[in-house]
Amino acid sequence: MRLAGWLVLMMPALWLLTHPVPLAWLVPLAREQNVPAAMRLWPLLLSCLVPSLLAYRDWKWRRQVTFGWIALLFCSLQAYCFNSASHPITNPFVVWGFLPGTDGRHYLNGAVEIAEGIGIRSAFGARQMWPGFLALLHTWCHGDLKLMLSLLALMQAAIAVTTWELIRLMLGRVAAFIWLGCVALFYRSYVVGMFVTEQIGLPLGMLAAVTLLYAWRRQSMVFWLLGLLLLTCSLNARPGCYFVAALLVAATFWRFRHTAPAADGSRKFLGDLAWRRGMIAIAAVSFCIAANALSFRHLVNPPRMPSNFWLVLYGIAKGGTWLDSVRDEGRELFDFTKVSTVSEEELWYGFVSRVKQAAIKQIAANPRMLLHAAWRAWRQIITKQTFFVGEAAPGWGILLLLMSAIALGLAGSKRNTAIDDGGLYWLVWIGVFLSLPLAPPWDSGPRIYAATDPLIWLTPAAFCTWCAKRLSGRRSSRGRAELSIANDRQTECLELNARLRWNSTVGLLLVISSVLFPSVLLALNRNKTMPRYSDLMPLGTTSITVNEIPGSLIRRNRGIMVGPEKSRTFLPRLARDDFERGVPRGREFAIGEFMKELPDNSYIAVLGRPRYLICDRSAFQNEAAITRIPLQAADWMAYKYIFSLSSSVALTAKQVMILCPSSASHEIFWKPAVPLSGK
Amino acid sequence: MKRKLTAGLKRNIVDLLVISAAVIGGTFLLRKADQAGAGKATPELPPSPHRITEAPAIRPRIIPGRMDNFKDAIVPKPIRSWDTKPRDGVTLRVSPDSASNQPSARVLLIPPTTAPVILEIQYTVDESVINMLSANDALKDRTDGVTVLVSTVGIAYNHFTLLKLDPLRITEQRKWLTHNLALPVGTTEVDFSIIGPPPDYNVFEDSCVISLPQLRIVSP
Repeated sequence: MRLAGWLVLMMPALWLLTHPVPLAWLVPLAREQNVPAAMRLWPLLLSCLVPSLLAYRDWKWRRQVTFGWIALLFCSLQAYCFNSASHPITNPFVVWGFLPGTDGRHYLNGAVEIAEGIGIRSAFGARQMWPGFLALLHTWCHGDLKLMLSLLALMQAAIAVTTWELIRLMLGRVAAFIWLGCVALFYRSYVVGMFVTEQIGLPLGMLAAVTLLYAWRRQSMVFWLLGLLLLTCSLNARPGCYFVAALLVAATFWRFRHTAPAADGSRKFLGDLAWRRGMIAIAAVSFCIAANALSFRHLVNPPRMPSNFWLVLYGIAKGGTWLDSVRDEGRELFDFTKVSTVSEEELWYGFVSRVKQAAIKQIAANPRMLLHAAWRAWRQIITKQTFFVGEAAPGWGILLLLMSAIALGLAGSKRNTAIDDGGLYWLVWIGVFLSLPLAPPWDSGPRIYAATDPLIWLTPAAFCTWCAKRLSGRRSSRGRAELSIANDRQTECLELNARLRWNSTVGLLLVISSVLFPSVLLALNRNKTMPRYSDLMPLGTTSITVNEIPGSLIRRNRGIMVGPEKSRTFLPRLARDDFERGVPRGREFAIGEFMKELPDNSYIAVLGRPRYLICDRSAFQNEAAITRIPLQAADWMAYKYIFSLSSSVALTAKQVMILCPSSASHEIFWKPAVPLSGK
Repeated sequence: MKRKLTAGLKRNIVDLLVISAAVIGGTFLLRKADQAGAGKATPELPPSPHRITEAPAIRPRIIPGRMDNFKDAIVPKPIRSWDTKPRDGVTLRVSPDSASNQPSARVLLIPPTTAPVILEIQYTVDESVINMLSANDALKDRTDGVTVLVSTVGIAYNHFTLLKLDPLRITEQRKWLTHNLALPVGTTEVDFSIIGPPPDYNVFEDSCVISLPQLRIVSP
């Protein structure tokens, strides 16, 4: 009966993900430019308030209804992408609200290469955890991108529910509201609809935060170790503020120290420290790092590229951003007017290696730039309230920053007014501030703090608990029965243990799925015969040798189909106006212009590596792709790394000129486009 | 202690089973519901317009038309190259000198083709140009062959063909080469343009003579 209840209450969320709905229903949750500023924040926050209101009294179906509501909320944000063919904050990492762009495409390539038994051929540093998890998902969903995104949305919702319940039990309803509000705002801006590392960094960070809070509070060593493990994995998946993990490990010695009296002075202090437990904590974190390193060596093929951290460091040394490294060292890579004959990976490898040397040289010559970077970073995260997605929610960000500051202040006050667990919050904030000079907010924005933001969000949540406690303390002194409070506490304690066990299982499953299982998948598929995306463009070659694409690689929901103007957008099909609005820009501007010239019913599928396949309906029979899709002669295509054209696609003169831009061809290029039969 | 551990393990196994069941069930429901939902969103599409079956192309002796460089009319002139027989043709050339810069030419077919037609294109790089480049190593190193993009424009869909030649390095190409281009029904014009193909987009000193033996220039 209960199981059926869960299922029924999950149905609205599933229905939203799979059925077209009027966009007006979903717009209030997005951050659309034409919506008033207040409306971009409050509908979402009010939705996050509902679970706390539902928890005012405990009732039979509360948990199921809460799960249904939070799932509906998270799936609404994903459904916004599917119904509008855009992103709630128009994030450039996603194209048409669906296909991965830039970083997302890079990670999807890695995932495909693991899933096909090839191994990642190009990755920046040890970032294989997310591609590894994605490889499992890719295999499970048979390459159906829409299904993958839907499952990720449901996973985020499920983890938001379990962590919300734990926060409610530990810190109260108002704190749980703050928590959910922060999670939802972050999810809306930097996670939903994207194949980026935040998809795993955020949930692991959330699970780590609640586990660490519980362990700190109860001085439970097992859960403390589990929390550290989850936090380290989260930072491995989404690198960010590493000093937080280091400080928390160091805190093990003090938090779990012996309380029995010993000798005096420094000997007493040192003797009291929990040396054995501290060492176990160090071993646990080292184990995580070693496992990640082993996984990196197994999943990523040599030569392994250095981390893109060196680009950030170069920017710091120059007093600018990572783009300085591109300006100074990456001209050939970022010359968008040319396609180099050298493979993109080779170019990147050379570029990052050069930047690494230059960054070390620059920082060694001028170490004061680190202090300058620290000042810049601290100022920016405070003025822009980076940890609370301040750009999206200015008032909310300021409020939470203020609450955090007061909470930290209260942590140092006298015993009767002190905030609970103040030490943990201080450690987190100090760790974050120490990390900021090397993980600055100006290069990639708030998203890089996905792993540690959940720990930060605990501070304003704790402030709300403190306020609530003050108020309820007065109220209970006016007559609430002590016995009733004790009973409530006992029930809550049992519930807390059950929730925490569930939380731990989910966390460990996520870790195993992203560290261990990808290696198993890689080993299983290494010698398996199958059509591979990875074979379409072997490393270091161009598409010249590829004459056709196996139809079996054009799977359901692997791409988008361009519909007529004013038609209904519901991915993978989108209306012409939505299509033109969302075409790739920036570095891929010319490709976007090319795509705008495509006739209705064109299909753009995402293949492995940075490559789209563009074909028309003749490549499909009975809703499935034909066995082999012949390609047009591609030896003259400028953007051969980016797309392949089915031979049935008729080109306009403008498209040809985009493919072969030449000063000699401007007469044709600027001629009005010739109407196509498909239009 | 042992009992506690066993109970904990059991609970974890149950949790794992529940998670697995949720993933399997969720995937199944999403797949089924997506198929149903996609049906509601996607209207029935018309058949692809690009499956055109055409009759076999014919090769007429005369194709009437006009020639221009997209601005002014041009008239083919007799050009003698590689052999003694002069052929009527136009020279496409990329040059920094605006007076001699003519990278593109267009043939307007009058009337448009009513059946698939074969257009014979004879092309070469003028002998004098090859001689000049061969004599100057510095100039020679900056060239990389010539590519002419031939586009047919019409009411159906456009065809694009590349004519590539490098007689400077490939001595077998020091002659007139021939390409038979199929013009689909409704072709109104054929465009010729020197392009610099990727990755270098090099059009330095590119020139090419185009001769269309079937073309008969008609007055406007």
